[in-house]
This record gives sequence, structure tokens and C-alpha cells, in this order.
Amino acid sequence: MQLHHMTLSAIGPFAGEHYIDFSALSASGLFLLEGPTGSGKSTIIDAIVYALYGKVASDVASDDRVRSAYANESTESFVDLVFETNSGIYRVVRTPEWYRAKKRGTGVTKEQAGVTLWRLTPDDLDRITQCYAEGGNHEAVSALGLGTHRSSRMDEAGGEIARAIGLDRAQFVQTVVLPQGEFANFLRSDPGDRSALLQKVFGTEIYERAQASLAEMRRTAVRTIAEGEGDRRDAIRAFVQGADNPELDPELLAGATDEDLTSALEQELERLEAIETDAIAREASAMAHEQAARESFESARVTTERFAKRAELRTRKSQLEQSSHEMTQAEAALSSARRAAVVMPVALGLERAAADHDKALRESIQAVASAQDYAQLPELNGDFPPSLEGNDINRRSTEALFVKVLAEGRSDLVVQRDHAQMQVGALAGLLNTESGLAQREIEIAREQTRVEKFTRELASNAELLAERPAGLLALSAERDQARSLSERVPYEEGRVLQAKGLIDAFGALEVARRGEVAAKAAIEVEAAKALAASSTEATLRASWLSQMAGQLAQELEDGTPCAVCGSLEHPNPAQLDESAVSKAQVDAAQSARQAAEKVLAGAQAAHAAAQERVTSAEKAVEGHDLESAQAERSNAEAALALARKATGELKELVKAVLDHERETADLQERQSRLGKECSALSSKVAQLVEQLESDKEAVARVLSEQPVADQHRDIASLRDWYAQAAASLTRLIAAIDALGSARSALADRTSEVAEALLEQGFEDVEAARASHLPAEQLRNLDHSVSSYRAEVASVNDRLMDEALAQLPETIDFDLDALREELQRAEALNRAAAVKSSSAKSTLVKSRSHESTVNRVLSKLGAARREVEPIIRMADIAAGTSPDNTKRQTLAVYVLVKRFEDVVAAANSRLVVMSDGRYELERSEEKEDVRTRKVGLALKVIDHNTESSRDPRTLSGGETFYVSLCLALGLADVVTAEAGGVELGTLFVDEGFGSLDPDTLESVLSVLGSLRDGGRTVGVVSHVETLKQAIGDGISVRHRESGGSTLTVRA
Amino acid sequence: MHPVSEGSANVCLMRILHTSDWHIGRTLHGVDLLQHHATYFDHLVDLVGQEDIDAVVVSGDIYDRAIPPVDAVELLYETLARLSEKTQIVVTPGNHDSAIRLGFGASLMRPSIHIRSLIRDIARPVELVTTNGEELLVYALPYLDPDAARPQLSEDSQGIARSHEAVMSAAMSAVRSDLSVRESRSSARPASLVMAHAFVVGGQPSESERDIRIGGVDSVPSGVFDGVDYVALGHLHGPQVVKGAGSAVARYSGSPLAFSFSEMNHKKSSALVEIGQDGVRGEPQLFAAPVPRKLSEVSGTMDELLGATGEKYVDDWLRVYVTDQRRPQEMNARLKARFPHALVMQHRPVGVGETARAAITVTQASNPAEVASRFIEDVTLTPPTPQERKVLEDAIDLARAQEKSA
Repeated sequence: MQLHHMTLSAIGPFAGEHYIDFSALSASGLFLLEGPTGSGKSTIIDAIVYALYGKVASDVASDDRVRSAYANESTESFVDLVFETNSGIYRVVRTPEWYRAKKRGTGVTKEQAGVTLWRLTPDDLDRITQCYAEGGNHEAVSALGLGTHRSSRMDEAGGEIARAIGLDRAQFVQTVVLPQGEFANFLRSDPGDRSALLQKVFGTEIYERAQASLAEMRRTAVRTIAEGEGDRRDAIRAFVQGADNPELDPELLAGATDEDLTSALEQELERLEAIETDAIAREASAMAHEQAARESFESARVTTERFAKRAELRTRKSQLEQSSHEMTQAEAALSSARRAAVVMPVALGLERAAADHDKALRESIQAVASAQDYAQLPELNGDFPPSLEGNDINRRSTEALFVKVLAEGRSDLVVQRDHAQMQVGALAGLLNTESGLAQREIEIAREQTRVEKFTRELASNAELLAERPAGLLALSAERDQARSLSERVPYEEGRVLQAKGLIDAFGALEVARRGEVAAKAAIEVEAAKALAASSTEATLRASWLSQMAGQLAQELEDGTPCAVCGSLEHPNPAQLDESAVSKAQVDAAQSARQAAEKVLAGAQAAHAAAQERVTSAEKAVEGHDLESAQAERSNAEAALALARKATGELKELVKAVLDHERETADLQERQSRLGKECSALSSKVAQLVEQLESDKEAVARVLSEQPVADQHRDIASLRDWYAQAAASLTRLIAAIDALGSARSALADRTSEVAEALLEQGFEDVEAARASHLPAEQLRNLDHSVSSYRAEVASVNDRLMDEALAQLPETIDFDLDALREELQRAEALNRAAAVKSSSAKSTLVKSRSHESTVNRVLSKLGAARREVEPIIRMADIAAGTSPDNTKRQTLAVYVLVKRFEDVVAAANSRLVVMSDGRYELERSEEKEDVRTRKVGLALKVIDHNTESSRDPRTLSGGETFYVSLCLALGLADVVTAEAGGVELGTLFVDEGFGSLDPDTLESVLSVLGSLRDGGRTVGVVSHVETLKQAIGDGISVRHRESGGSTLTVRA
Repeated sequence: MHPVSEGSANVCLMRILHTSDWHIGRTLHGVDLLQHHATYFDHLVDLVGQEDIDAVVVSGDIYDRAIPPVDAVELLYETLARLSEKTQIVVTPGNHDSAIRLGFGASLMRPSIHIRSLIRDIARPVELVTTNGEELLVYALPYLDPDAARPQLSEDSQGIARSHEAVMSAAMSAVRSDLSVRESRSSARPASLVMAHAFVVGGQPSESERDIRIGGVDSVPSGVFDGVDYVALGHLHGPQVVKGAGSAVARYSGSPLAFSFSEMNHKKSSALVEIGQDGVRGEPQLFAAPVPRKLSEVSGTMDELLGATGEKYVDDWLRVYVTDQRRPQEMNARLKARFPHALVMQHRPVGVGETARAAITVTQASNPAEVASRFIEDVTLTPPTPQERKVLEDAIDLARAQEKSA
């Protein structure tokens, strides 16, 4: 671990903010924190430890020292430390708990301790270094905002820092910082703590953990075995219960070895098998016994039944015989009723036929009456209608006559009827015609009207058509005119332009002339001005010259040459002018004149130009005059307007012509069409009229032909009359036929009846009726007779049955006894079955239990085999096994060599510092009665007495340098390998005062030699020699105002 | 001052005896050296008388400590008194001395005693003038601790860098400017000698010099001393010449006594230098210092040492290496009996036969399963069976898993 930068503020005795550049100090390899007692040297080391771990270096010192008592209430305490480890570069800012002045109100309020941790990249570190090098402070560095923020929580940040450094605080203050009074902790520590520190430092915690894992595995293994044995016990118990053998003792079996157990179980199974076999045999015999009993019982029972049966039949038979007489009588009645039943329907038929005949007769009479009006009837001689009263003979003969007459006249009647029907049909057609006549006349009138209308239309259209061509002509003329006018537009436009141009030219000429005049005027003005200016200038110049001359003249002395002309005499000296004119004024006048002349020249030039313009403008309008040009323009404009208008109208006119032509065409078409229609219609009308006349004629003809025409005006009534006639004739014919058939039927029926009576042996119908029985009663009687006969037959049959016939007259066995016998046999059989099935199930269960036991046994065996090495390894690793000859645990074993290396490295320095007197040695013994672990104890060998001593018996100074050697040795060994915690920096707080000068020199030389190894050692001491010996470091001084201040010399 | 006829001109030379690094009060592995210092001082006084020395220059580290023991102070007082009767003597403090304490009452001393401990007097040389009028300017530079010297040596507000080289350069430029002023004022070129206490590059240190690193650098390049005739250097204990000092001859006189076993083979001496107007004449003459007891080193087995091999070392201060395989019984006592002046006795067994303590080196890079198997083998004397090895591997995997989840 290396320190780079630290800034502290209001920490310990340092009230202000101080910055320490540790990287510069580290470059020296060895640096000194010196100052008077209590000035704050240890505070600097405390600040480092506090920044990293939140607590000062010394265990016994209180953290109250952190916040400075000299700082005022509003200054914040903090330590800002940038450090680097193998894990990376970090910056930690830690603030202790302090009481700050309230922002509002009086008094103080507590600010909790806080910490912030950032992770930096090498670039960040460079920038921070640069910031500090340029004079920056904590605030400036914080403002850079560098680094990834890792945590602001005490526990989290603390954990990360401890991980980065690889040591916790207790270990840190044994290896990196040897605080005042506590440097010998490692030397004097309990081997347990030493082991923990060494493990941490060398990174061999895995072995401690592996040892713990082995112990855990051992516990689990032992538990597994115990469970397995429990299972074994349970399986044995289950077997014993299932086998139900009181001789088997589960405890005994559980205690037996596996082989004995297996064989005992097999024996038991055999026994159970034998039981099963026996039970099956028994069951079979019981079954046979039952079978036999059942058979004998059955046969006895059957015989008994038959016996009973026979008795019953016999009884029945005698009963039947008692009622035989009745039955005979019933049979006789039955037969006569049957005979009567044959006759009755026939008689019934006769009655019906007579009724029919009557009816037919009546009908005939009526039919005749109704047909009288319409037909020629046969002669009835006033015997019509025949009387239907009277006695039989009379009536019959009358009837017969009636009938005869009718029958004879039938065929004539038929003829008449057919004729009527024919007329009906024939008149049907005419009927239609007659009814439609009126309608047709109306239609014809309508058509006639239409024809007239068409004719009128045709005439008017013709007139219109005649007028069309003239109109067309007029429109075309207009159109042509408009066209020709519109064609003139471009020409007229040209004219207008030309005229305009000319007028403009006249305008220009006027302007040019005016310009020329103005220019000329200007020339005169400017000329006057120029003249004035030149005269002014001349005047000024003359007066200036005369003045100069006057001045010069002033100086003239007779006898001395004149400066101007050189003569010695001055007869006429110039006079000094009163008005003083300076050269400047003259120059000004001159320049004014020059300017005026310039202006004049300009005006002249302008005038010349104006003249030019006038000339050219005149040329442009040569040969024209303004008025004619203007007149021309207005004419041209009017013509143009006209032409444009014509252009506008042209389009419409063209369209109008086309429309006109089209209309004419339409009109012509309509005319022709109309003509066609009209002629068609007329011809049609003529046709219709013709037909109507002919039909009318037909109807009249027919009416006149009829015999009864005077009774009927139209065809309709005529036809009706014919229809009625046909109907009544039809009725009469039908009645005649019906009568005929009824008479024949009657005759038939009568003969039938007579026949039937004869057949059946009845005298007359009455006799038959007397024997007649209704159908129901007949059936019942038949039924009872036949059933009686049937029963008698069956009883006899059954009695004749062989089985019954063979029966003896008496029984000679005891049915009940046989039944009991059978029941007993059944019971026995059931019991045997039960026993047999139980034996089977016991056997099956026991077999399964036996296989369970075997399974458990094999599992347990495997587990035991597996567990054995675990237990052995765990015991050896924990040092408790007798196999472990050295009684050394695994965790200690891996440290032993390293520890020896540390001791050897320490010794190489110790021999120098002690001049070969002392040597450290690793010891196997327990250092103390209370300590358990062995192997990491230390002893000091004093070569002067060749005895080994407990390190705790060394003097103060000796303890100091021995501890120093140990610390350096530990650092050497750790640094020598990669992956260990890097102990780059070492701080030693005091202790040098306990050394005599020689020892101090040797210690110093040893420390000095560390520089070459790249280590840094910071030493706190007030000893004078060290101040001389170590050039670089930090000086801490008291301040008069209280508190301390520090200066870094690096 | 001795006129030496040398060809045409009579050149007069000053005879200067150069010594340094007395370290009065020092002990050698616990043995007090005061008696040996006294012997040397007797020798010195006699030498001064015999060789007609014009001045003795002592270039620093007079005492061994800032606050020396009382008898060391007494011895110095006596020696200065004796020497000053016969010759001039210029003394400067070194890094072991406390300059202020050493320079106490310097101006009150006899005129022949010049103790120059103040940095502000650097450019004011000791003017040694003989009766013949020969002159030698001795610029006595005390040990320049950069922190103390910087503020006093810097003329401008720029300041001097915090290093030995910078302060020495500044001092030397002050010296040179003073020299040039004088040179310009007188007709002849004055002879000059600079006394300095520093580690000059090219010099070979021994173990007994204190490391005076400032800002990581302890040395001064020899080129800074250009411009004077002789540079009388102190601080390194071995007598040696330093090259590269321009026109100057630069020399370490070395300590009068051997102060550590690393100086065992040094030939301790004092240097006599003749300096004239033309600079140093010839080579300095070395006068060996007396060696009351010499330092030696011997190694061998116990038997050899107790026998003939050790015979000639019996009277010496001895560093003994005992090479037996196993440390002999009562080694120190027996050696002390044989060699009463044995100062360092160490057991250094020779050869590769390290007593292997039945352990292996375990690093983080080791394979834990291998280490665990080795452990089982070592403590039970039988290697683990394959199943046992599997158990160990399982336990280690479990431990790793816990570590990750922790």
C-alpha cells in the first residue's frame, strides 16, 4: 500500500488545513516526523489510520482526539487521503463527528461522522497530483470531481477499504503502522491472533475455511450414518411385525451383524412359505367335502318338490270334473249364436236397400217437376206425380209404371240436354264480343284525336324550317367580321407603341433643353465665384508679401545687405501693414480659389454634356411634330381597343353559328319522324273501325235466330237460360238411373236373405234374431269354454309326465338334516380359505420387508464406506486424530513455512542490530498454558547464554528493535511473492528513545538500507540524532496562538 | 613556508596536512575507541612537529554525535590545545556534528585555531600568511544541510533548489566570486584551498558513513569545485582521490581509524599537500595512521577457528563466521574465550543443507488440493487415498463457495 496525498483540516492540534505530499516523501525512502512532545507527530499517523479505518491507530487512545479543539466552530474537520493498493487507487474523505455552530440561532448542533470513497484511475491521480503541485487544496481537488463514487456509507466504505488494503485495522496496526507503545503487539501476540494475521497477509484463509468445511462434512457424515442405522432398525422392526412370529426379537436382530441378520430373515421366510403351502392343501379338501354335501341335499330337495306338485294336480282335476255339465250347456248356446250371426247382416242389407229405393223414387219425382220448364218430358198420363201412399200393391204398380216411362224417355232427355250444353258453349264467345263493343268504340275515338294532333304539329314545324337558312346566313356574316377585326390587333399595338415613342422623344428634348439652360446659368455663377476667390487671394497675398516685406524692412540696417536683394542700401523699405495676415490665410485663400476654379471647370463640363443631349434629342424627333404624334396615338389606341373587343366576341360568334346549324338538323329529323308516326296511326284507326262494324253485325244476327229471342235481349241472358235447362235435365237423368239401380239392389237383397235363413236353419229372421248374441258376449262365452277344455287337457298331461308318474308314494329322508350338513361343510370351507389367504399375504409382506432390509443394509454399507475418509480427513486436519503425528492443524501447517521465512528475514536484520546476540526462533511449544494452537509460537534465543527466552522478557529497547525486525521481515516475505498483501509503507511511532546511540546507529543503518529495496519508512521521533540523520520529513511545531502547524521537507 | 628552488623562480609552498572524519566518541560494536583516538592524536601532534606543517585542515565530522560524550569533548580540547601550539588549524563541522555547538566560542579561540561553522562565513576565507608573505586562502565550508543552507546562500529571491548539489554550487560560486575579487585586486594569483564535507560523485563509500540523502540524492558532482587549487574533502572514510573537479585536485583524506568492518582493508592515513601559487605541487604525501588494533574477519568451522586457523586473529577485533552445519554448542562463549576481541560472531552454515523443517512453501498461487494432500502426507507419514483426496477437494470447493458468498 502506498500513500500519495493527504490533506487534513482541524484534526488533533492542527487547527488549519495542511497538505502532505507522501509520494515526494516516499521518494526519499526514509522520512522523519519530528517535533516537540505533544505537537502532533502521532496525530499525522492517527490521521492516516483514521482516514482508512475510522478509528485512530492506538487501541487505547480515544477518538475524541480527532476533532481539533483549536478549530473554530464553523470549520469542518476532515482527512482527505489518496492511497493506492494492488486493487487500485482510492480517495477517501472522512469527517469525524463534531459540533458545528448552528446556522440559525445560537449554540451548536452535532454533525454526524461521515465518509466518502472514490475510486480513481491513474489519470485522475496525475491530475490530482498536478492540482496539488499548482498549489491547490482539498476544495480545489474536490472541485475536480474526479473518480467514481463508491460509497458514502461508513460500513460500506469501510468494508471496501479493508478489502482493498487486505487488512483490518487491528492487523494494519501490527504490520504497517507500529503505534506508540504498541509496536510489540505482533511479537507478543497470542499465536491464535498471529495465525489470523498471517493468514490474512498471506492469503491462506482458504485452508482455515477448508478445515471448517471438513468439520462440517464430518458432522453431516456422522448424522447420515446415524440416520442410516435408524432406518435399519426400523426395517427390522417392520419385518418382525409383519412376520408375526413371537420368537423373533427385533432388538436381537438389530444387534446382529449383517450376515446373521440376512440369514435369520431367510429362515423366517422359509417358515412362512411352509405355512402357506399347508393352508392351501387344507382349503382344497374342505372344498371337496362341501361339494358332496351340496349334491345330496339338492337331490332330496328336488324329490320333495315333485311330490308336492303331484298332489296339487290331483286336487285340481277333481275340481274341474265338477263343472263339466255347465260347460256342455254353454257350448250349445254358443253354436246357435254363431249361426244367427251369419244371418243378421244379410237381413240388415235388405232393409237398407228398401230405404234406398224409396229415396231414389222421391228424387225422381222432384227432378221431373223441375225439368218441366226446360224440356220435353215423356207422357206421364196424369199419373204424375205418382202417389207414394197407399198400400203396397197399389203403390208398387204405380211405381212400376212411373219407372218404366221414365226409363223409356231417358235417351231423348239426354239429347235435349246435350243441345242445351252446346248452345251454352257456343254463346260464350259472342258474349265476350258483345261486352267489349262499347270499349272499342271509345278507343277508336281516342286514336282519332291523336292523329289530328300529329298533323297539326307537322304543319308548324315545316314553317319553322323554312325560316332557318336566313338566320344562319346573318350569324355567319357577323362572325367573319369579328374575325377580321381581331386579326388587326398586333398591327394596332405596333402603331400605338410607335406613337408613344415619338411623344417620349419630344419630352426628352424638352428636358435636355432645360438642362442646357441651367448648366449655362451655373457656369456664370461659378465663374463669378472663381473670380472673387482669385481676387481675394491676390489681395491677401499682396498684403502678406507687403507685410513680409515690411517685416523684413524692419530689420534692415544700413550697411547690412538685404536678405532679399542683397543691396546695402535701403531706400525704400516696405511698410508694415497693420492688418496681420498670415501665410496660412494666404494658403487658405489660394486653396479656396483653386477649389472655385475646379468647380467652374466642372460646371462647364456639365454644360457641354447638356448641349450634347439636346442635339441628340432633336435628331430623334426630326420630321415629326407633337400634335400629329398625339393624334396618331389616340387613333391607334381606339383602333386597338376595337380590335381587342372583336377578339373577345369572336369565340362566341363561332359557337353561335355552330349551334344554329345543329338546331336546324334536329328540327328536320323530328319532322320526318313525326310524319311517319302520323301515317301509321291513321291506317290503324281505319282498321279498327272496320272490325267493329262486323262484330256488331254478328251479334245482332245471332239474337235474331233464336227461338226465344224475344225473351232475351242479349246473349248473356240467352246463355243463362240454356245453362239452366242443361242442369235440370242432367238431374233428371241421374235420378232415373238411381232409381233403376235401387230397384235391382232390392231384389238382390231379398233373395239373399231367403238363402241365408235356409242355410242356417232358421225359419225367419226373427228366429235368427232371438239366437243372436252381441259380439262381446259371444267372445266371452267362447273363451270360457275353450279355457276349461284346455285346462282339463293340461292337467291330464302333466299327471302323465314321467317324472311324476315314477314317484313313489311316500318320502323316506330328512331334508333338514341334509341342509344342516351342507351348512357345516360350507363353514369349514370358508375358514380354510381365510387361513390360506392370510398365509399368502403374510408371505408377500415379509418378502417385501426383507428386500427393504437388504436395501437399507447396502445403503448403509456404502455410506459407511463413504464417510470413513471424511471423518479421517477432518480429524487429521483439526489435529485431533492420533494419526496426526505432529498435532498440527491444516491452517497452521500452511503458515509454518511462511512464518519461518518471516522469522528468518527478521533474523537477518536482528543479527545486525543486536550484533549477533539475539535470534528469533519458531517454537512448537505452547507459549502459554491457555493457548491451544501450536506451531506459531516465538522464542528469542540469547546467544550469550545460549538459552531461549520468552519474547516478553526482553527489555524495552530490545523489544522495540526486535519488533521492528519482525515487521520488516514480514513485509519482506509478503512482498516477495505476488498476491500477498503489499506492505509497502511502514510507520514507526517512537521507540527510538529507548535505544542507546550504537543501537540507534545500527537501527538507522538498517532502516537506511530499506530505501534500496523500494520501501518507505516513516519514523516519528524527537531524538536529535535522527533529525540530523534523516534529511526529509515533516516538521511539526507549536504555534503561539495555540495548536500546531506542520511543514513538509521533501 | 619553504622556498624551493625550482628552476628559474623561487616558488614558495605551503605545507598543509589534510585529515577529516575524526568521529571522537564513536564506538565500534560497543567497544569505546577513545583510547585509539588519543593514540592517533599523539601521532598527529608528532607529525605536525616533524614535518613542519603550516596548517592542519580537518574537514568535518569532528565528533561522532551532535552531543558528544564528555571525555570526547575533553580529548578534542586537549588536542586542539596541543596542535595550536605548533601550527594553524582549521576545523569545520560535518554532518555528524552540531555545527553551532562545535563552533561555540570560535572567535574567542587562540588565533591559530579557526573553527568555521557558520554558513555566512563561507566566502570569508582563512587567510594563512606565512612570515615570508606567502598566502593561502582556505575557504572552510561547513557541512551544508540543504534545508539550513538554502535560505542563507541564496542572493536573489529565486532561492536554491533543495539538494546538496545546489547548495554546494551556490557556496562554490560565492567562493569563486570572492576569489576573483581578490585576484583582481592583487597582482599574483592567490593559492586557494576549499574544505568541504560532502559525498562527491566518484568517491567510494563504506558502511560507516551516514546516508545524507536529501530528496533522494546524496551526492554532489565533482565539477562544482572547479576554480580552486585543492579541495580537502571529508565525509567518506576511505582515503581516495576524486576526479573531474576541473582544475582542482580533490581528495578525501579518510578517517584516521577504521570505524566498521567494511573499512578493514583501508590504509588509514593523513595527507600532506604542498600548495603554491601554481597550485598543488606533485602528489600528496600520505602518512599512515597508527593502528593499535586492527580489524579482521575470519570464517571457518569451530574446530578450525579454535585451532590453527584462528591463531593469528587472537588479538584483532574480529568478525567471525562459523560455518558448521549445525550451530555449535556455546558458540559465542567459546569464541569469546578464544578471541577476546571478537565483536561479531555469526553462524553461517555453508552449503545447501538447510534444515528442512518438514514444511512446504505455500503461496496464494499454490493449488490448495495439492497442499492439503501434502499436509496429510507430512503429518501422517502416508499419502491420502483417492477417496480421501476427493474428500479434501470437496472441502476446498465448499470453502471457496463460502468465500465467494461471504
